[in-house]
Formats: sequence, C-alpha cells, structure tokens
Amino acid sequence: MTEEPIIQIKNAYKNFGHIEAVYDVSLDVQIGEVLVIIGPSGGGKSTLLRCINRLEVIDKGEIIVDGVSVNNPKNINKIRAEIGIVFQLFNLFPHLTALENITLAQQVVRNRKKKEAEEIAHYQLQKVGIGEKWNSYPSHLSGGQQQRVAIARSLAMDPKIMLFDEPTSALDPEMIKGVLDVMLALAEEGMTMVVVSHEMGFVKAAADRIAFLDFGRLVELTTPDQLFNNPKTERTREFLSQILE
Amino acid sequence: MTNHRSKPPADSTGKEIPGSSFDRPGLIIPWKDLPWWAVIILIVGVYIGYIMLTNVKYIEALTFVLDLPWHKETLQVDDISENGDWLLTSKTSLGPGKYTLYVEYLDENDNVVGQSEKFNIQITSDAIDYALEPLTIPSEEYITLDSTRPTISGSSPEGERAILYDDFSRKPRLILLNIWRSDGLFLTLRVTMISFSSALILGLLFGLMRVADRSPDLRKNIFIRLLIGLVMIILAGIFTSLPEDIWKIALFVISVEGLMVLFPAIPYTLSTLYVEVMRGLPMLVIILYMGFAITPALRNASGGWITGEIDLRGMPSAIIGLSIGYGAYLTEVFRGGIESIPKGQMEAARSLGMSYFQAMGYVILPQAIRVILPPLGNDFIAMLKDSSLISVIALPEMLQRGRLWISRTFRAFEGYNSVAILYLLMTLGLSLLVRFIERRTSID
Repeated sequence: MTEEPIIQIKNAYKNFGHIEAVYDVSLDVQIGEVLVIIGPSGGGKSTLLRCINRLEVIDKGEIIVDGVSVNNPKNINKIRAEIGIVFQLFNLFPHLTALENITLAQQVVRNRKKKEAEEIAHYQLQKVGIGEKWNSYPSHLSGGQQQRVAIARSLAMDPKIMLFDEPTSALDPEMIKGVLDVMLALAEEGMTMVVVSHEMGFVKAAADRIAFLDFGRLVELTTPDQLFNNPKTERTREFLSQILE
Repeated sequence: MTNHRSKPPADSTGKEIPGSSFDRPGLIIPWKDLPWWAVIILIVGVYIGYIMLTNVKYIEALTFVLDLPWHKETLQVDDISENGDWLLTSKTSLGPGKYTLYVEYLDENDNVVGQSEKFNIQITSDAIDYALEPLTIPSEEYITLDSTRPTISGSSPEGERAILYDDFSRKPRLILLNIWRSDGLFLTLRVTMISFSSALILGLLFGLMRVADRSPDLRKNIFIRLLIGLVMIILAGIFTSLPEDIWKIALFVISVEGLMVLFPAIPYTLSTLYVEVMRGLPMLVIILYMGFAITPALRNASGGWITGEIDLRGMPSAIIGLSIGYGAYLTEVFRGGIESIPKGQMEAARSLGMSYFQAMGYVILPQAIRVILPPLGNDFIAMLKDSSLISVIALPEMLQRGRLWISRTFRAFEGYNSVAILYLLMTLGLSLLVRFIERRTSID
C-alpha cells in the first residue's frame, strides 16, 4: 500500500468572473515528490498553486494538504505555516534586513526565541549561499539574492511542502542559476515541491512528474521522459516545440 | 543612500558611496547650502525677535499669553484695611517641606508697589490643617510651622491689596508641573497633543476598518433570508390589512435584510459613514456642537451624572471635538498608507502563517507609517492651528488669552502679533521636526 499523498486536489474549480482559471483539476503529490506545472501564460498555473495554500479560494471541489482540508478556513494559519511559498516578485519585507525577514515569522508564528530564530536564519542563509548578506536590506540585494533570501525565509519555517511560483522569471539571466541551484539542492534533500517554471534545465534534472495546464484544464500529467519524448496530445506537442526551441 | 538605521555593510555594494557613512542624519538645517533668501528671512526673523523682546508692551503680551510666571503660585489675595493692616491665610493646604513665601502689595491697577516681604518657613510632617497664630516678622531663617495653612499678617504703608504667593524657583519639578498646567501657549499644546494622540488611535482603528473586507455577503443563504423577509411582509400585510402599513413594514424588513446581507462589510460601512460625515463638517461647527449641544444633552440625558461624576465641560469636550474631527482625516491618511503597500506583502506574510492582524502589525503598518509620516505631520500642524478654534467655547488657550489681554489694554497690534509669532514659531519648529523624523525613518 502506498503512502497517503501529501497534497490531494479533487475536482477543483476556480473562476475569475467569466474566466475559468482552474477547471476540474484533480492531482495528487506524494511526499518527497517534485511536481512541475507548465503551460502557457494565463493557463491557471499560478492560480492552482495559490489555491493550495488558500491565497485563492476555490469555488468547487476540495484540496487536502497533509490530511487537512484547505476548504475549511478554521486553522488556515497552521496549514500555511507548513507550506512555504516563493513568489515571482520575491515579496521580501523592505523595512527589515535579510535576517529580520527570516526571523519574523519564526518568532511570531513558531514562537521561537530570538536567538534560536537567528541561528536558524544564519544557517538557512548559509545554505542558500548568501550567509554574508544577513545585515543587508532587500533594496541593497540583487534580484537573485533577494529570491534566495525569500527561499531561506520559507525554509526557516521547516515547511513540509515548498511551492515555487515562477521563482526565476523576474530575474536577469545570470541570476537564475544561483536560484535554480538552491532549488535543485532542495529537491535532492527530498523536499516535496510544486514548481511553476519553464526552466527546462531544472525540469529535466529534478522533476518527478510534470503537469501541463491549459485554459485551466489539466491536459497531461506524466513523467518528464514521457512528456518530452512522447507527448499524448497535439496541444502539448505544440507548446513544447515552442519552449524547447 | 539615506539608510541611517544601520551602517550598510562594506561588501553589500562592493564600494562605499563617498560620504554615505558620514551622512548627517540629525541635520535639520543644511547650513552649508542655505539659499540667500533663507539667510534674509533668518536675519529679518532675528531682528523682529530683538524688537519684540526689547519692547515692554510685547513682553507684557507674551507674558500674558504664555501665562507667566511659572515659578510661583498665588495662595491668597486680600484687601488691605484702611489703617494699612492685612492678614493672609493660605487657601491651599501645603504639604511638609521648606517653602519661600512672598507678600506683595498691589495698587488699583495691579501694579506692584512698595517693598515685598519674604518669609522662609518649614512645615513639619505632623502639621495640622488649620491656621495658627499669624507670622509677622520676615525671616531669612526657616521658621518651623505646625500648620499646613500658613497665616501671615503685617501692615503696609501703601497699596490696595496684599497678595501671598509661594515661590518655588528652586524646585524644577514644581515649575515643570506649573508649566504643564498653565493656560495660554501650553493649554494649546496640551489640547493639541492629547487630541492628536486620540485622533491617531481613532484614525488607525477606522483606517483598518476602511481597508477591511467590503464585499457584501452574497454567498450564504441570501435567498432563504429574502424569502423569509417576503413571507414576513405578506403575513404582516394580512394581519394589519392597512396598505400604508404594509409599505412601512416592507421597507423595515427589507432594510433589516439589507443590513444582514451587508454584515461582513459593516466595519467598512461604519467607518465610511464616519469619515464622510465628519470630514464634511467644519471644525468650528464640531467644536461648538460638542461644547454647547452634546455636553448639555448628555448632562440632561444622564440625569446630571455626566458633568457630575464625569465633567465634559471645557477642555474635555474640546478635545473630543478635535479628536473626532481630525480622526476622520487621519482615517483617510491611514487608509491611503495601508493601500499603498503592495498586495504581495500581505500575501507573503499570510503565507508564512501569520494571522491578518499579525501581518498588519508586523509587516504592513511599519511600512505604511513611513509612507504616511508627511501627511501625519501636515495634519498635526493643521490641528495645532485649528486648536485656536476652541477659544469659542471660552477655553483660555493662546488666542483667547491674547484677546483677553487686548480687551484689557486695547493694543490689538501687539496682542495679535504676539499670538501670530508664537503660532508661527511652533509650526515652523514642527515642520522641521517632521522633516527630521522623515529622514531618520526613510528606507531606500
């Protein structure tokens, strides 16, 4: 018998007005799995990701994370603390230093002592490779450094799941590698990850499965080998040919 | 680079921008690059100040407006009898300790005449609270007294009235207390500070309500509720069987239903109502209304309990009026500040597991405060000026004191000049302070 999947999405629907952002999507993510979501822009990738930690509320269906339904809003903060999310635009707190960015939620949500939180923050900053920048404000950091601080901020909460919402698409090309390296290392450690990304290098190296979303519909959910070598639908083939050029 | 909170680490940018670490955070007046017109204004200002401080009429007006002197407290004033004898007993009871009391003689125009007399006394800790044998001989030595109400008698060759006062020139704590309690300038400052603090709290609360969820609750059971409402209208129609009553009841039910449907948006609705009403009323009207309509109405409604137990007359009603009026402006300032923070900040904080209020307190408001500091300073200065309006409910603040002095001396020019200059000094000082705080708290 296999383990219970850590994320279960059952027939999720989400509309923005008349636009169907997510339409009847069902998928499971196992513990330690890296799921990459690809698809054209406006295809509902980010919306689906944000539905997992209830930044968007689904209209119909059910999402269960770690055995708890996200539809039930009672202890949403507890669930969210277990789900790290990294945004496209970093969303660091500009009035706090890198270190304070990382310690704030630990102290407020996890009730850690300041010293303990700072030790963890230093450790996580070392891990993402910018240990010496702990006292800098976000405005003094480059985009890649900011994104790595954002990853460290999420990791410091000891999440069970990490969500990445196009973490590299707002970065200069030479900054992307540093961030992807951090993500690859994280995947190797066995973190459960859901990643919205078109970085094919990362997809090939780390993805266990790939979901292809178009017009909010789950067109294909398969392994990278299958998808790249033998796509099932014409739409997938067309999309892949465009991004693999 | 204006980050003064901590030195940027040398490796953050690779090289230090020249002068950045020696940037003067506390510099209010940039002497180095002062323009020529500022120098002229400064010289004119010093000249005007010199003229005012050497003109006896201005000194008198300023003294009156500032409610000087602060180092003495009048204990008793009494007429001098025809044969020149007088007897003064302190009205207030003095605690144990050393005191320096003075007796001065005043003529009919309140001018000091003759020689004042000085009495050094020491009141014991077991002194009793009524007058004993009067003292008669002035003394440099401290005379021990067993009464907390010193009584002094003597005779005067001239003057209409004798005045007994307690001089505490050497007790800075008492002087500060007297400054704080004095009328005129410090009443203005006191009212402004208290009102602005409470307006800040009001503004923050209503500002938070104003950015709260404003969507009406259209999800749950709205049709069932409206159906119940419809049934109630029909039932009421059957029982009353009067056409106009049906419409009244229908209106009532529909408005109740409407409120119920709006329920999650009630904080928003309330704060919007507050802002629109209060912002639409002139400050003068609010203060008159508080002083002459609300306070008496409350007294009547509460059977004298308010103004008996809780006295709202005078300063409290002025403070409440100013706070409510400015609370409305500050609500909008806070709302603007909060809404200027990108949505991603709230999302990031919430996704880390913080509650809405934690995210507000730790992430949104600290950033919003920096944005709203200039408009807050602006409103503080505006409130300082608008505090002159409370003179209409006869509070002895700066303008009222000035007018009193003018009606006594008929010197409108000196009187209003003194008031104007004092206001100007305060507002200029404040705007420099605001600029200073802005520099200290700015982030790149």
